[in-house]
Amino acid sequence: MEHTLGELATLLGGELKGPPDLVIEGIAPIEQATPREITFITKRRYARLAPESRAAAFLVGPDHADLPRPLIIVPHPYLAYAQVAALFAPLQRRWPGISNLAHLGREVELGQEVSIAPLTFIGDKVRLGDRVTIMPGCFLGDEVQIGADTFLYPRVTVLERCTVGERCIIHSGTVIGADGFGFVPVPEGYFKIPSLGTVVIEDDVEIGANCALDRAAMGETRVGRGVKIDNLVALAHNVTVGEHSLLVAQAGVAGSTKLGARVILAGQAGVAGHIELGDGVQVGAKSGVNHSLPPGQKVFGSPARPQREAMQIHAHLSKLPEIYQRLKQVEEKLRGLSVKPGRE
Amino acid sequence: MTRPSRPEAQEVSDKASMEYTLGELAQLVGGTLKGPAHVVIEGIAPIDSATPRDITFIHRGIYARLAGRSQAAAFIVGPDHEGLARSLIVVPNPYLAYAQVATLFAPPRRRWPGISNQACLGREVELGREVSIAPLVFIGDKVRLGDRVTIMPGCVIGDEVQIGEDTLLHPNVTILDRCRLGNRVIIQSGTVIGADGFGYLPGPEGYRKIPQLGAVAIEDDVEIGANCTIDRGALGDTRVGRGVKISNQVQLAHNVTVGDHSLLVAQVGVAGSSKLGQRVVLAGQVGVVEHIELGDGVTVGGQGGVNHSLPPGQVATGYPARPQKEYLKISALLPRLPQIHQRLLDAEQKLAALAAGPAEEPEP
Repeated sequence: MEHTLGELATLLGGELKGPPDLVIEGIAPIEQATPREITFITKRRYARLAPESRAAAFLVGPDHADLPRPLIIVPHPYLAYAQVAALFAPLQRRWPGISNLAHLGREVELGQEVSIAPLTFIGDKVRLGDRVTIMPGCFLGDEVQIGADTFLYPRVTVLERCTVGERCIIHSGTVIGADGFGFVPVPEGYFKIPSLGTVVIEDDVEIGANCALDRAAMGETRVGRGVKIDNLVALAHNVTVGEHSLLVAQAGVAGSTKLGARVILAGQAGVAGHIELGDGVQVGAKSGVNHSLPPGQKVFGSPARPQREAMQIHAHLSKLPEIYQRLKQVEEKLRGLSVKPGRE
Repeated sequence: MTRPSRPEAQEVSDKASMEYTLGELAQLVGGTLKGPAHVVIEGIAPIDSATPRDITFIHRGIYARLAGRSQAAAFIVGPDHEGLARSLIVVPNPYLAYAQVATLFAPPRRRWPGISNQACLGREVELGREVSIAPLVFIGDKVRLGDRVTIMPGCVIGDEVQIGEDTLLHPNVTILDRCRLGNRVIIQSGTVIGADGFGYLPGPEGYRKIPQLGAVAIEDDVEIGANCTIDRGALGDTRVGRGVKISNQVQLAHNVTVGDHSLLVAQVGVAGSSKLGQRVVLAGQVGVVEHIELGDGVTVGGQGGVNHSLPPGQVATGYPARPQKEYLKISALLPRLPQIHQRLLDAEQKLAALAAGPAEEPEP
């Protein structure tokens, strides 16, 4: 796979400074790039490495337009990097057509160019859109619907009646539509609350490996359009995640909670049940949110507090030993003051 | 393996045809009926989305306020709402009655009829009556499955595994060699039971693996969520007691014991050899260190990190986990730290003024 620098500049709509016929065979980080590869500068500290870099050419923003090397100048070099990397990404191999080692149920509806690998189980009345890819070991329960161009990596489980939109990517080991965790305590133990609902994943969602998205007790658990979910994230029954939200690895959201649009949960963040996080809320890593938050709020800590307050607490926590020392001194002086008059 | 002609799958009754009269439902949940017994109910739904063919329920005061506008045909309520001017089933515990009625309306899960010839069965496998083994299942040698066990597609059952009656393994569950599951156990998809415990001896060349010779024993009526991992014991068993309910992505290390009827919420982790008593509750994302004991009835709040043993009945929260009362006090004071610091500064200044002051002032 190779492209000329001119082709890449055209693709990116960037300004070329250098020989258009220069052949580029790949993309690599600035310190590792070989003379056959292009690299990119997204942050100033990478620019310092440019003179020693062996890269054939650089993707840069206007602030580095004077670097004396072959350049493609673009408004947004990080985006340009992603575009070029997509060009050089090795094609994901798909099973050609429907394997006869797969199990297909009755009344399955398949779009055009669907790929179903060996050792997959497709239940009855499943509907797969055009160009859907199902890798080995996947399970799709009865009446599951999957939209066009969606890609399921190996060993993904989508249980009955759940739906996945178009252009979604689901990584290995993820389970969509397991029963919600709901029990009524009774004298003999717990009575299981059946999960009658489903999970709905809208278009352009990506879900990482080994996530668990539970089906609703009644109604839907819903993941909005364009949401990106990292590995080992848990969404409980009846959770709603608004459009274009980001959920980083090991985040967890308890039952019936609603996240607005463009919410960010950093790694290992936890959100309690039955609350609402407004649009654009950002929750710091390992934080625990136990009440609803207004739109745009940034919080940190467990329990989560507004970022400013959390930072002040943290600043003073590191002063605690000093504060304690000073308190002891104050007490000592006070003792001295109260002792002196007594002697007189 | 070629694709076999597919046997007829066990058909379930059509969802739309499932209906009960209000009288039947009242009888089922042992409630008092206030309204026409012959009204036909076709489903159960939340109070704000129920149709005139659905029954709904009120288990908290906040829902009662929505009753006026609800289209529901009837309401399951506790004695505190029996004055509601609608068709009612009055029961002592409306939340339980909801779960009972919802169970009635739940679409039955389809089981593979019998043993699929797309499954791989080892030697000397003992099967009870009406066992269901779906396609793409692997069953090792000398496995014993009780009556009415259901194994969904993609499951792997290792050698000498024993599974009790009426137990259900959802798709893609892995049970490794010699582990034992009781009766009426439910395991959700992706869960791995019996992986090697995390045990190594540090040495000059790295870490030497300590073989994990034990197994995992899951007792009766346990439910385990999706993508959990319960490791086998180094020596002896990792044990999950009767009636325990475990949510998703829970991690139990080797030789952990979980007492009867405990609840482990999502993303909980318990390190090696720790013992949880009976009816312990660990809320979401709680971590418990190794080799400690949590007494019966201990409750740990969300994200708590427990680093020492706790006596029976203790309620603990925070990281590190402290008794709830202490935690709440600290939690309330933390935002006042800047203020406390300011007050210390003021005190220091006043003290300095006091110490300096009297010496300069003339004696009265």
